[in-house]
Amino acid sequence: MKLDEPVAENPLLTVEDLEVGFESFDGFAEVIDGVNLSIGKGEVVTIAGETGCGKSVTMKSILRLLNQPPARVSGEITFDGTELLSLSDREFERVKGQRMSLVFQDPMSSLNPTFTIGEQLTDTAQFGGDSDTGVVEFFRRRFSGERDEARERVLEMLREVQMPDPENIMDSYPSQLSGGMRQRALIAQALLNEPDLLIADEIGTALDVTIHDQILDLLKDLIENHDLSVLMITHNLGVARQVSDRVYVMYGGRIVETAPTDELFENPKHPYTQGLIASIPRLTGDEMATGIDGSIPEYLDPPPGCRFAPRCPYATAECEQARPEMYERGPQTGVECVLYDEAVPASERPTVEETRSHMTRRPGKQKGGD
Amino acid sequence: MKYWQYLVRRLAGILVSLIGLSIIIFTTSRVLPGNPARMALGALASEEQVQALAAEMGLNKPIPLQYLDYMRGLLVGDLGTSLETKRAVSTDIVYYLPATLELITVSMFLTVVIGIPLGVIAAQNKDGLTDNATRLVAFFSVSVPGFFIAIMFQLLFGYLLEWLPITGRLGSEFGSGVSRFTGFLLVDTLLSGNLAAHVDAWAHIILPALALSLAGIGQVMRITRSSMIDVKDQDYVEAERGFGLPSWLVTYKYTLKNAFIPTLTILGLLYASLLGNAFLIELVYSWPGLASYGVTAVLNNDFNAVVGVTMTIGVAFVSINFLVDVLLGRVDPRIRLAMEEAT
Repeated sequence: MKLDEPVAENPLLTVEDLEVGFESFDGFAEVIDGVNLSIGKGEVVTIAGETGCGKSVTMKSILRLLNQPPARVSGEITFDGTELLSLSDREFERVKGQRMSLVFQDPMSSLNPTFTIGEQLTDTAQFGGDSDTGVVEFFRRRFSGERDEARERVLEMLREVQMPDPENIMDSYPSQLSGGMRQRALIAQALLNEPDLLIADEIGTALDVTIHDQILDLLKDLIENHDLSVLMITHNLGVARQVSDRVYVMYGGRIVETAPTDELFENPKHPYTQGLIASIPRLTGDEMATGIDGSIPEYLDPPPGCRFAPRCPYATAECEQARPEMYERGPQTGVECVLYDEAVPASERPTVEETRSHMTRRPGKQKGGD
Repeated sequence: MKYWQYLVRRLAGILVSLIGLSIIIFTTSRVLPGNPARMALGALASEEQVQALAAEMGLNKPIPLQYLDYMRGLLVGDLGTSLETKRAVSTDIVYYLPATLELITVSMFLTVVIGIPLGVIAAQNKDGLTDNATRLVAFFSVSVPGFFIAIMFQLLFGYLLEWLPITGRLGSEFGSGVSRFTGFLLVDTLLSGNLAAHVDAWAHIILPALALSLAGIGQVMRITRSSMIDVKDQDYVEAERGFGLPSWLVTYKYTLKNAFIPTLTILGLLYASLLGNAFLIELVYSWPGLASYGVTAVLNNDFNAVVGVTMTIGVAFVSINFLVDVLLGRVDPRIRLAMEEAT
């Protein structure tokens, strides 16, 4: 049985049949190939996959951050009942500025180095989402009492993201802040205009592990307090597990598996997902996998069938010819793999251990040492 | 170290380099062939007269002593007497420098107000029609010599269209109505309350200033364009757009301030090089400026004037560079912070 999208109940954002390609001198690269996803109101959803699988392109096409051309985007993106792709740039800017927000990947490069934190954040608080503001209007509001209110709001938000000594931070430049502080400033900036949807690209990955953990905990609290719907993008399955309600696993520009977080980790189905989980380093066990053999597909000339087929230990001739369907395997759970056709007996479906046994391994920690 | 301490240190360094410059210039002017006393008195003067003048000018002393004498005079503002104009060199410089500074300042102003916006617009229409058009203009303005453009301007706007005067700083009819306060005619005419003369001063300065600024406009435009394109792709600009800030604000406030850093360095270098390059333009427009005064002095072996003009240009050069450093620190906090962290 085929899975009917959207899988989210009461969806805020749905993406249907998204296709994104890029024109280049070498030809047309078809990167995103029919992605369906949805985020329910108040839901935290993660797109997980290795670098180059199309996560960021998906996010950027939702936010209209791709330059067209060279990019070509088609499909349907619906946000709270409004079809986004058919909006004019102006209308879209309004929806995006007022209701969506994003936290960028690298806290080191996402704050403007030549302005103080206070200046950037107060401008965002005062004019974010008001992209129609003209020059005269800007200066009138910039030098009115409204500025002080906005400043107060920024201070309050900095306190909420547990920024140490926020008063002082307001007058500091990004280069004077640590990575964790910059990440907090960015999160504060993203939440200033009370968005409904927060898109977070690889949040905290550039930070060291303890700070990363603190940031994720903070994010969890903020999601709850601000009643946010969140689309997280990560290559780190641990992050997906820690924060999200539901996970989409992406490979080669397609969603290959989707499931609620617990289900995905307890019972991964797609050989690719199984490979990812098998690659997570473990503290126990005799040996560990070094990763899935092979590399992501060449988008200029992708495999004609399942894009994972060239790396899949279970691939058959059928896999290499036609793209498999997305088979429904439970509530909000689907997997795009022929092994999950009704006709295939359950015993023939691989387990994580079986997938691990097909991967290149190296010895783990020996019991008792040498 | 505080930023101002860094600046004080820079100033001390500047003083040292100026002293070095004075030694080089002074020595060069003294060892050049030709007898300045003979040049001053002319071919008909007797050998005794020449010797007497040489003794009076101190030319018989060893060069280091001459240098010390010169530096002693410099401290009280005495740069010696020009052999050509028979006036104190300091008086001549005070007279000629404002004309050149005025010309260069207006040129720089044109460079900034034309070059930077065109660069920004070109960057926003990257590879579009406007970009290619400005690229062509920049190519033209950098590659065609300024004096040629100056002459073309005279032909077109002065001779054919008869819109603007082609020589001098002010029409002769205003000569008596304007008193000299600062030497900057654009300021003096206003201080004298003579509006008609003020307009006339603008009419006189606009062609030479434009001719002088064209090469700089081309450079500034291209630098601004390429750094705008670089900065536009930075994460923080993408983020600012993402937060729905007005796009003009993102471009002119958040992008331009970062893109301005390389442009500012270029502007400082341009200002300094204009001091020297102004000569040809001053010649074409009979502009009574320091550059033409200096060149005349060199041709006539008027050694006091040569040293005086060179030192003035040197001081202007290092002052502008210092100013650029201060401004860079203002624009880019990373530079300021790096200075404070150093040592």
